[in-house]
Amino acid sequence: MTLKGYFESTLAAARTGAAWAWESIYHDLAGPVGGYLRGHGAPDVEDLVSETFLSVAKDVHRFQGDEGDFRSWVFTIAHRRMQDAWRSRGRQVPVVDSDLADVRAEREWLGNVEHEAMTSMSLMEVHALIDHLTADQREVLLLRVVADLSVADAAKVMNTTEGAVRALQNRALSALRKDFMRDA
Amino acid sequence: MRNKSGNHSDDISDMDKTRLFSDRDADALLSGRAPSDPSLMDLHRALASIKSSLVVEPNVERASVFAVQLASVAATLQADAAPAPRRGAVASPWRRRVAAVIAVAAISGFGVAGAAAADEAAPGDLMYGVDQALESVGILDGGTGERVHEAQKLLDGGDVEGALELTGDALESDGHVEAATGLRNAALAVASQSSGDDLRAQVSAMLEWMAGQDSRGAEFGAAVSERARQISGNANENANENANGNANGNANGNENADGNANGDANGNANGNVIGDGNDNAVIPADPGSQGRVPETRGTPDQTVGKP
Repeated sequence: MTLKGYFESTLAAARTGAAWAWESIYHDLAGPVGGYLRGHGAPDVEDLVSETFLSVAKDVHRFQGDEGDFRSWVFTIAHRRMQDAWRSRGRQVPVVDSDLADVRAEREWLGNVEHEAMTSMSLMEVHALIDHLTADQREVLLLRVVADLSVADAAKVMNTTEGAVRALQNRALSALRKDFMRDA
Repeated sequence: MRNKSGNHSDDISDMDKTRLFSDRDADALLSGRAPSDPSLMDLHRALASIKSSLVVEPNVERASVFAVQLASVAATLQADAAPAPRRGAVASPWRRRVAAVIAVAAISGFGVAGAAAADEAAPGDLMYGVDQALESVGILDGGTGERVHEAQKLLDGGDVEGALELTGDALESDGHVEAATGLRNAALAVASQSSGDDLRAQVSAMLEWMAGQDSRGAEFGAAVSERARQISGNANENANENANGNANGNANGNENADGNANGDANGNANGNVIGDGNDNAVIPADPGSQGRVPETRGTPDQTVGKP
């Protein structure tokens, strides 16, 4: 929530087509949106992020609400774009040819070297931790931790109640912790 | 293996979730603050790692290139959503379409420059943005599959001819058939030019002018036709240089005749403007009129005498 006090004016400028406003919205949200999609194992994350922001730009004149509403709206769009992407892939089985296998191995095992240097987990390790959560638990975890949404805003994205979100987040944390204790 | 154990672990967590965390600690963990229970520090660090591994900060150059695209899309659709009710007129559908087409042209134009500036990130994103913008044109057009398809074809070319044709369709559906025909002729003329940079600029200027017009009555249609005629005229000028040389010779010779027949010609003043040598050379449909006009002018007495 880095825009805070500037949110209203930034949104107003974004609606009129001010490039600076879109730049700050993008800076604020592109990282978390990408992280959310990556956490879900979405295909072509960069494309999906672009698609999400274009949808936001297209519909921003219809949006009403505060920054929390805005963020949950953006993640709702990201979620839909991801579902569309999966749907359009249909039953396509991911084929890994030799070139792709190299790229994939590098990306998923070694990670982005630059980025990896600053973090302690590779994407593979992250997925090893969160992939066995149930879909709802993973969704809550990503919305709360990666997207920085409040319980109320996460509930809006998931179209559920705050109570349900609290229950899910507790279960997700318990499952993660149990994993930790098992490993240790 | 872990996927299979998912249900199992869920059951367990259902049982002991209340014992493992206070709501306060859960909130602290999820929002990145240190929990009060020291035994949860490992989990706190793991969550921080998950977040930092998944979130990649956007590339600065790429962000500013993309921000410009987003701004154009927002500006175009904002104009669409809230048409300024000037003079109480309702914004006509073609006007929105023209605005959308201009935005697309601007985006694709910028994209080329942006690609040069920010090498690696741009190409994929670029096509993506243009595609999306085209899609929005389709949506503005009423969202029918045919329209979207058509708009996408035009967008694939990414060229002014495409924009002209799309605009022509929009005009036609609004009843400006003459203007639409003029635009199509202009589009053909522009398409036939191999080095059409300045023509493209003219077309862009015209589209912008059209988007800025409030009136969409008969005058508007006539003005569009006139401009389209000028554009296709300029396009054919090079190709028809020789032919024009001849036509100009005739026209010059006739100027005196017009001067002499001033009084008679008043009623025909409009006809003369339209039937001017250059304009006739421009429209391939009336090659014969070039021959006819001098005849008529050369014998003003007959013309006057007939009615």
